Amino acid sequence: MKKLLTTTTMSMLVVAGAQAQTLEERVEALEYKSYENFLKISGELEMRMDAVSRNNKEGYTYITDATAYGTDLQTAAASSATATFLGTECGENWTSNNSKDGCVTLGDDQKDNSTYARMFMNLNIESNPSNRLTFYGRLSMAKYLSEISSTGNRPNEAAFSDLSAGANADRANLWVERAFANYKMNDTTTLTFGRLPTIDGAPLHHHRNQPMTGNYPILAFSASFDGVAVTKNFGNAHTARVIYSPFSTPNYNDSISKQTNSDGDTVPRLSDAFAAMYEYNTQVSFARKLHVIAMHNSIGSMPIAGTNLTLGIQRTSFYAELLGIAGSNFSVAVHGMSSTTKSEGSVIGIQGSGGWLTTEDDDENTGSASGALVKYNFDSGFMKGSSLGVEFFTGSKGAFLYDPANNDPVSMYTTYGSAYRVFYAKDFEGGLKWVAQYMNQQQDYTYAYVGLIGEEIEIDRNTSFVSTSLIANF
Amino acid sequence: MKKLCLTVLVLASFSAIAGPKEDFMAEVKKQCKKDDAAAATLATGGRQGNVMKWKTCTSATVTVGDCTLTCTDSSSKIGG
Repeated sequence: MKKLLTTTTMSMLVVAGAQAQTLEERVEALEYKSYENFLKISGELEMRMDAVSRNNKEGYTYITDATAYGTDLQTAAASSATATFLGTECGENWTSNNSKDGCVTLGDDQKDNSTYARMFMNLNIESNPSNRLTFYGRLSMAKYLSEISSTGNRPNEAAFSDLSAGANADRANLWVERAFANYKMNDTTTLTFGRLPTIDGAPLHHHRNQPMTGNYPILAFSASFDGVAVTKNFGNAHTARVIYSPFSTPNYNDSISKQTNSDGDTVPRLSDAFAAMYEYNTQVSFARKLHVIAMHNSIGSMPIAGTNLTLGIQRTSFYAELLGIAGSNFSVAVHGMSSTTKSEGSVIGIQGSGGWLTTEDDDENTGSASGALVKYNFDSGFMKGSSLGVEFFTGSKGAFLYDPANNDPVSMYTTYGSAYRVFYAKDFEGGLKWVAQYMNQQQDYTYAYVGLIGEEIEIDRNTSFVSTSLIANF
Repeated sequence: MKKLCLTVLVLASFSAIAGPKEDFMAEVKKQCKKDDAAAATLATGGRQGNVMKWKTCTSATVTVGDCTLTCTDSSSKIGG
């Protein structure tokens, strides 16, 4: 007992000694602590204007509603009028009583242009209930300014919309874009689960001169994935990570009975998807920072409800950026990916011609894409606080290019062809940012349905846009 | 055992006072190769001071004195 008392007393004396700060230091420490509440909320409000023009030099038809298109095609086939149907422009009558629906035909040298305005709001939530546990959340809203009426399918109600919920302009609803918890199992290992920060990945952050805004590089996969991950740090610079983020195919009518596809075969409600990542993030002698991400994504066999179509993807990607090269204000980033897409079955309605990147019922396609970016940060003169950059991208046919969370009028990263962008960002004192960009995209290929399914079509379409945003960080 | 208890208590007392200022100074020392005194000089207080400027940074970098710090966004990273 005496020993215990002695130990306790000595311990308290040591603690008191260690905390023997001046009153000023202690007040200062408390001041900083007060800034970090248990639950912190911050956010971003953006108002954006886009002016886009498209020149479709060669006419082609793409499918917008496979069911409607397929019904019409089957009707035409039944009356031996398939050739007449295929030769008719979408929206026109292929017989006196039947119009060709579920598709859009763009004419030769058809020029279109449009201007629209949107606003985006992100509310970021952070909580640190303990030294081990951290929670991050993001509630997002994206909408057109004062929407009065609309046509077409809303982006948050379409198939696959869960992979980009809240990112595309819709109603003034809030969507959960991110909600994940990190639990430190020990000093080097962290368990993460929830709706993961996988959209808005590199190199998007350079356009707005921000810190990296998503963990999956955009060529690894641009989509919101729910799942569980284990991250292991090796020293100060190396990080390895494995992620399991399965896809769900729920049946809201019956949550228990087995589901079947259009062939009557059983399909799983949960299909596996894995990713393995390696990150190297360090200071180097020739740059302020070097950050490399290498990644492999694997999707086994993802079914599409109501069809017998399944998707399997093996996708290997890398991203590397060098910031502040050789003491200058120049930064560069390069990225690339190679994908092998395995398609089985087809979409009902375009039976026999509606697989992933193919018209075959059982097929495998390989393709690649790559890009590079150079940026300069101004730190003096009237341009102080500005960054100016250029970016180039090219994608080959056969690559699985997917970017549902894209907010540009057309996505640079789904270009089967080439695209370039010039971007400028200005940070004003006090949390206001102005962003402007010009992008040009030359598309040489597309696929008939949603740009990824069915017939590969050779096209010659040029799209360019100018956009400007005001962003408040609060 | 006694030594172990003392060590744990001493370490706990130091971690209890670690906060944004200490994090800021650690980053200044790491990223800009400053010594303790120089890092402390840069760690100016208040809502508009350098510590909070770095802590609430929404740009790619923040410049404090002659030191350019890379900002990070933990809410965009799996595993923090």
